Amino acid sequence: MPRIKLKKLISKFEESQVIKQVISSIDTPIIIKDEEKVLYGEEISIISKEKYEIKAGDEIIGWVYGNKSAATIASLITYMANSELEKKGLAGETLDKYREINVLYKISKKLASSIDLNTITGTVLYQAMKYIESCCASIILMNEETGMFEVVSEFHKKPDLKTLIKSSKPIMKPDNGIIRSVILTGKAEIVNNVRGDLRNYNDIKEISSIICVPLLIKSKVIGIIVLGSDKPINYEADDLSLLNTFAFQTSVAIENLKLYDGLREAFFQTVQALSDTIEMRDNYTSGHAKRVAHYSMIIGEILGLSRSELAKLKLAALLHDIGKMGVSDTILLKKSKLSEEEAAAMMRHAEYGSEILKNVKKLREIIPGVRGHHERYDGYGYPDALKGEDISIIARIICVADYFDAMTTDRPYRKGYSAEFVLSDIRKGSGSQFDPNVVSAFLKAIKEQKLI
Amino acid sequence: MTKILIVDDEPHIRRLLEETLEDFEDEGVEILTAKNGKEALQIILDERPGVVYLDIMMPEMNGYDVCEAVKKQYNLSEVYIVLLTAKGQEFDKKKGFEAGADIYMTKPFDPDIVVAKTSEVLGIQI
Repeated sequence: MPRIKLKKLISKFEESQVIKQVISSIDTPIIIKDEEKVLYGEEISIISKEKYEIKAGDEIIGWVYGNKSAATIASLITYMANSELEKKGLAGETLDKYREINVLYKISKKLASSIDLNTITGTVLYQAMKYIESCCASIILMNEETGMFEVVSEFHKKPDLKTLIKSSKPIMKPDNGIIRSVILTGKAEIVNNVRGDLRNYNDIKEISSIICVPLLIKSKVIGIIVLGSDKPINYEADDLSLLNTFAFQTSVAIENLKLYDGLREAFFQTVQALSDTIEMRDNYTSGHAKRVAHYSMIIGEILGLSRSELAKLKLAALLHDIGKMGVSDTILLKKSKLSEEEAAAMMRHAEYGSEILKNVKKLREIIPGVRGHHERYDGYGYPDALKGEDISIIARIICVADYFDAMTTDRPYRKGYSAEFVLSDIRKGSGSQFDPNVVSAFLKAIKEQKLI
Repeated sequence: MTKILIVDDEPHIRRLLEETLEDFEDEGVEILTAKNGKEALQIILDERPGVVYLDIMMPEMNGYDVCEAVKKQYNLSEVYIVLLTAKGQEFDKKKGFEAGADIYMTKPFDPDIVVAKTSEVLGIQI
């Protein structure tokens, strides 16, 4: 409730000389006073003078003492006080809207860059509780697989009223009648007397008032946001409006998240299927790509590759032999030794791999890894005779992982060698065929038994 | 006596900032206002406010120039300057930094942040 202080009002008028001019046009002296002291005029005997009220709204904020002219002054100041009151009211309303705008801006920004559910729900609930008085807040979402509505996140305010903690035992659950009603009808609700509401048959005893809005995607209810207060407060249209805006932001963020997750899943499943096509061509290489990917990831982790580099490594490892699609069965499945021509054709699988992948934008970044997995650290590899650090780290890692798996598994033309034999081979090739760092990371992984 | 100066050519913005900072008056802080850069500079030199909320787009000397004068020319480092810029406006962070501004805020400002910042700078709890 805005309040007017007469003292402040008078000093504003004094600045603009308004009071002085008006009063000087009156013949008799007057005194303006609030409850505490004289604000204008001289405190000579005021007992004999009449006093006239100055009001701001319903409140008396002071008096004007003097003869009948003082009444006019009192009316004038009252008028100005009411005008001030109105301005203050408008200012207050505007500032509230400023707060809202800033919160929504903050939330939009955070949600737009958010791709995990916990961050989304945490942000929204935290801001909602900051701006709408409540002791707890919860987001309930429909589980896509079961079709059931579940509490995803509930926060409670600690007794100091400043900190929020995530609750492990939610109070506001989807089986509560009021919440169920919002889920079923898709219509927001304010219930300011929860205990008295007939739908509260599952008895949320702790909560006195509830405000609940649906989360909608294309008119379908995918969940709700609910805030509760243990104190008997009255939620109003303003609160509902704000919460609805939060809900809209949340729905959009969740929808984006689902789309993103869906796309990512589709992409990986497709890559896996593509990888499997090579495995289908002969039994001997069955599981090879998966194993190479597995070994490569462990080496990559030991070498401290970033999350995004590791993701690329996995894709490249799964698809490193995709170029074999361009090699004929007679060569690929030949049981005897390959002729020079046939060997050359086989070696082209590295180049073919990059040819196939260059048409998929998202896979272009793994081309160096796929194309280079047969390069040698000393520069005598193929197809490009790259040397040392010029070979992409992903290629250098796959090179070792590929060699190990290829040599230890049976082939059409020979049986697999023992792990010890191949490991000593790899050690010997450190610095020439293989990157020494990758070799030591690989040996470390074996030692720590991470690979088998 | 601690003082706050609000500078904006638009009277309603001055009013809104005054309302936001009203509670500081109860703690004995005086709130001053100015409607252009020239006025602002004079008040800063005469009154030495602890915090200045300074609009950029103003007639008769813009916010950058006032800031530069206060910080570089007169070297008043104890005057904390908050530059106010409209959201989406081409705010030149570099220019603001070079002029010596302490911080910038976009309009519409967040009233809670204005109070918190003022509290922090003046060392007065509301």
